[in-house]
Amino acid sequence: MAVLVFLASMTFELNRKPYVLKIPVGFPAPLIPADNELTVARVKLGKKLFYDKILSFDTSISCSSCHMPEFSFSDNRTVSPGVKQVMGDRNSMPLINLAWSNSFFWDGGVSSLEMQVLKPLTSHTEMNLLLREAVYRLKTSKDYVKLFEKAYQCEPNPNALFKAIASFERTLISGNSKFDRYFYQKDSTAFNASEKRGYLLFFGNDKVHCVSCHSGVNFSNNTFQNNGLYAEYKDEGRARITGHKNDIGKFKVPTLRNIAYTAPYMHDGSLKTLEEVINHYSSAGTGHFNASLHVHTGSQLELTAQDKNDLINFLKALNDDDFIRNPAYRQ
Amino acid sequence: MTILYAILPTASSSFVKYVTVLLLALSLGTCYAQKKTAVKEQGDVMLNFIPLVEGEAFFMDSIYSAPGGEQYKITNWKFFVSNIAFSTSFGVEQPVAVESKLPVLLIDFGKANTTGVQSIVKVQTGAYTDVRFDIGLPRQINHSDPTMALPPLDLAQQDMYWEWNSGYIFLLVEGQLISTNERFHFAIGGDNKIMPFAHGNLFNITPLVQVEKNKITQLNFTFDFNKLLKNGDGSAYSLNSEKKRIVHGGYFADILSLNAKYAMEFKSVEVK
Repeated sequence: MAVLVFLASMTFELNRKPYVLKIPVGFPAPLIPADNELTVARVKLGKKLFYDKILSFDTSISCSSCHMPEFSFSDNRTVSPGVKQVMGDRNSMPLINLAWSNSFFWDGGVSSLEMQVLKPLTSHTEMNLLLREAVYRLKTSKDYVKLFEKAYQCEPNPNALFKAIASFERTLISGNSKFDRYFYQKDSTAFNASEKRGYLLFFGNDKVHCVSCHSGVNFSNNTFQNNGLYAEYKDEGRARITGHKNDIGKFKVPTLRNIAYTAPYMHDGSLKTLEEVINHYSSAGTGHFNASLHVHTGSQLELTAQDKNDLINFLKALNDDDFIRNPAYRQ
Repeated sequence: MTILYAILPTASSSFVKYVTVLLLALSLGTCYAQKKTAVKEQGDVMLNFIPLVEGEAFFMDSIYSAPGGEQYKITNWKFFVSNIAFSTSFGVEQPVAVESKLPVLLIDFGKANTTGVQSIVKVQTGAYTDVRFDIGLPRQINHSDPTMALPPLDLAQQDMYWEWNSGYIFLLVEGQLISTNERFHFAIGGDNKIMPFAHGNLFNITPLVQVEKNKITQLNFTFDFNKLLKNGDGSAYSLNSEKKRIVHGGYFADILSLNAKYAMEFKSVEVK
């Protein structure tokens, strides 16, 4: 009897074994909801769900179809196809350091990583699966029934489904780029000369000062900005959520980490290369009435070819190859 | 306590303690009994919502003419009702209790019978001159976790929750224009889009509603879709522009939520 009790308690402990995040030097504490603390069982379940095509209408795609590790959990398409190759309307965002983000999607319409799962799962242009059908499929899988029991001590349900995927996504941490070694780990030799000049332009030079928006550990101040991409926006961005005219054309400032892996760029994937991005920001822009004062629209920046090259080299120094190759993130 | 000592100057302290405890227990029991008798009886009130178009009976998928002249059909028409209360004009409001335990009703005109969609609520017996409710949800409910919610707020009602903009849709109407096959989709929600409805007359001495035990008082409300398409200045809300057909928020959601307040009307009361 004592042995049985001991074994049961061991199983109980194993199912609740905490998953310890490796927090990069310089990062603050991550945002993890009290009702979804990270455990090994939850992350394992979330990873399986993330890569499982069972969660799409015709079992043709999974979350990972548009969020591939080799593209920093983004893809290399302008906009991504959903089931039956129905095209979405926005560029796939990379999934990096989500435990330090407080709003999700290009328009920030969802404020919880857990609830974020609902949109790609059910959207007609993405996985197009009714939630009740998703839960039914999971309930009829013996594997999933066991994994849900271990992770959340319940049978598959929407709450645990969302929590599990969010748990896995919170483990996708990138913080070992050349920039991290230079800035947070104080390795003064991390940058070459061009990257160092790009770094100074990015952070300290009034001529560019990208850090006005791309700040913090994620290179995003989590605000919504209109970067003057268009004179008229087909996609109204943040205004779709708020309904305010002064939010038209505003989109969430994206992270720049692993930026070289996440082309094409902008909410609609309209800029194909980092060169095009730099040229956009150094041009006078379109003069949209909501254009951010930070993006120099209306007044052309005088960037030399050397400046542009240095900025691009600095942006490439935000690559974290360990993150891209991390086998723990892969299927 | 002092009185007790005065009455029983020679009594032992333990005796006094026993008597004190006994008196306290008796007084508590009296309070409980008073509280128990203060609970008033409840009666049933049936809220009946009747869908109409231009004053005529509504049928899903039938073809109707809008005030702007467009021909259309409706394929989905739902809304949440919350914050329901009855009052006398000078009295205290009595909130209702809903049998599902959540103070929220989901009215689905896709499931309307020939007389409307009925929901029974519990109201303290008495005479009331006013009734009010909101089309929409209170802020604390609107931002609660839908994966943990009980019906009708659970995600089984997925079309009443925005997957891309966390929050419930208060009023959803979907349909199609006949001439072009273009769809229209009105999804009104957000904390500032609650559509309050009230009916009553401060100076009417005749109660609007008499709620009695063992009787069902039925209140009939009509919701006329064509009135949703009539603006406050008398103009028609046209379905010819895409911005007016596909509405999730912004200016046109404001217009439609204002129109909805006039599209909902109190019709009649009957006691069964």
